[in-house]
Amino acid sequence: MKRLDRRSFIRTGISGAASLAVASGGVYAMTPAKSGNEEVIYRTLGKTGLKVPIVSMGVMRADNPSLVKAAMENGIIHFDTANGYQGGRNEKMLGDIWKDYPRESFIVATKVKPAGVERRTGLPTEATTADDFLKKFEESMERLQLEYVDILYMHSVESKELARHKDIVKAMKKLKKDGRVKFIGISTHSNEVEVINTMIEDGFWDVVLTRYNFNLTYLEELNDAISKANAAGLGIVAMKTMAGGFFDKERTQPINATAALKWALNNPDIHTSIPGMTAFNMLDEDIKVMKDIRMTEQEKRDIHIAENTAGLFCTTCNNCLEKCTNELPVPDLMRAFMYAYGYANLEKAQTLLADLETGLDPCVDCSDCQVDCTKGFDVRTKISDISRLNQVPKDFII
Amino acid sequence: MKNNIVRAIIPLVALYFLFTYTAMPQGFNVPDLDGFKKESAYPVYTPDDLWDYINGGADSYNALGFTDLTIFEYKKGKKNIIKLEIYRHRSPEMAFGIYALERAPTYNFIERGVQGYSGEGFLNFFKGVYYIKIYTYSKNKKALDGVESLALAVDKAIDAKNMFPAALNLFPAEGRKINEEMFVSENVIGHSFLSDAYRASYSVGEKSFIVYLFERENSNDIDSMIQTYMSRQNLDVENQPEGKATFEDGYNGVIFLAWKNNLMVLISGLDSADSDLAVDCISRIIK
Repeated sequence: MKRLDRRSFIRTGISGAASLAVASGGVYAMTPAKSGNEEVIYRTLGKTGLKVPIVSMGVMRADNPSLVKAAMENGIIHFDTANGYQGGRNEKMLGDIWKDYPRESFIVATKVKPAGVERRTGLPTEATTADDFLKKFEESMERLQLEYVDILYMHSVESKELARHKDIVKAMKKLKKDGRVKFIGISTHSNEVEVINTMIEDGFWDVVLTRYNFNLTYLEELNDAISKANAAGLGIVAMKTMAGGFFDKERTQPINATAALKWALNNPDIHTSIPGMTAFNMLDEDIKVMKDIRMTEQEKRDIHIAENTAGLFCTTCNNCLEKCTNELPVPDLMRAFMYAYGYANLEKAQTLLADLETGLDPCVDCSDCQVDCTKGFDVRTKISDISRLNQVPKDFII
Repeated sequence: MKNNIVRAIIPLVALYFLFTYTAMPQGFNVPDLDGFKKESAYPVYTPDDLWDYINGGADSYNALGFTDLTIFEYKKGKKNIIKLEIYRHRSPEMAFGIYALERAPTYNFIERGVQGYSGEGFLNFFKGVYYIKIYTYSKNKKALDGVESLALAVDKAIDAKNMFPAALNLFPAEGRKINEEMFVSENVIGHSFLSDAYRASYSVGEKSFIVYLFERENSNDIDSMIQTYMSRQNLDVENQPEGKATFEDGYNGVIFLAWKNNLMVLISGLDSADSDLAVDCISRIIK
């Protein structure tokens, strides 16, 4: 199957999702909806064989049982929670709701985060044990008040070392064998490509829950990994499709969530998504997407704007390091810029600049900047701007 | 040269004064810990990049006015490492909100800061605008004891009163579930036009219900919310002269609503037949 890159998705949106479905080689099946006038779009979650609507519910921040019930009444059947959400209240809320529903009427995915994982490297430590993992799983089962969960994820995996943690993997396989969980998977929020490729290599995983949105700088590699995962039979669930939700940290300029969700679902390798829902109007919008992923002209424009809004945050992809002819520590300088202009922490910015020892205008000798920033930063201008801070006496700042 | 310096200084100093509230990295002197070497090898995380540190949890933090995260490590040898995470939020109410979101009533609560809870190798508490998390993966007694010592030292270093948000005192004590109070910043009962409410869970007899308290600086903000809510329900505020309304919210069932001046109370989870219970609860909050 032809791999689709980011631009292809947008173009595909122009020609309509229906044609994409055909072109994808029947990756997903269209099944008549149980409710509503239009047809809900279903896709098969890889080798699990579960047919799920393309929109599922991310329950993480929801605290209102009425919202979950409304989602169920509108055709959502797959719900995503985790052991750690809201101190366990999230699972408890779901368990209390589902006492009144037939077990076969919903699919529940929960996640257990291994303890002791080093946050910066994603590597397990001595504190990462199967005992702890199983203890948390049992907590989850008690809160959910279920005999089995459909999908159990090892949560927040960022390294192949954790994905291959022998004891935890063994424990998850046993839970599956014992029927306590139907399928096992991994959720991954960063270093997704390595994690997904590891899952493909290992072969025994059923589902991957991965961050997926238009704003990722390594989208081509991620699309490639997702495409291979789909071909290998992994069920693929997209999360964080809204790319943070807001352009600004004050949360006043929201990203077009519907457009972002449609964008993600226009990749036929994505089987379902778990947009976080905390309000009924969000649910209403997501229900519409569940039945129609064609993007309007305005939605395409919104995504285009969002794609090109670089913001202040450097993703430290480090591609610039090879290109800068002055061998400047560009990511660090971009971080200093963010401290000063995004965070207004001049002290932190000046301290960082002092450590870097890059001088008053490190780009002054360079006539043509060779850095082609993956986030679209005008690197040279930013470096010149921030380097002026070296001239400011410390007394003015502290 | 002199002009260049002036050109450089003016915008930056202006920027500094514009944002002085965030200019200090932590806002208090982060204490040392006897026998441990204090290091800060992490960047200061902001709303833009908190994701890089705590992944998906960042959404909840940002919704509750997260400002910055500063991290210190206290090291004794290679294996005994205590990590101190200082999450700063926009207000004490927001700091309470994120703390309350992550606590569960079954936790082992301790008197640290306004309130905290602890387990083997970890201790979390909130105080002022800060949500503090201290933990170690080490099983060494010195590291485990160090977690508690460090928590005490950080508690002392933060110059803020040890008190819950005052609005929580307005909730009646009778039937209130202890340590289940929350602060909900967005989408209260799933409505995008209802925000920034304290929430308390109640169990009275066989009835369980939720009480939301909205406190604003003036009555205009309350009136605006009421107008929006009433219009969505096709109700006329003018017909509710006593500042009370009971109606069937299409999504949430029966809602008891009352408002006066800068306060609004919303109760969900009760039936119409339980109006005495709702009225009694409301009358204890809105005098």
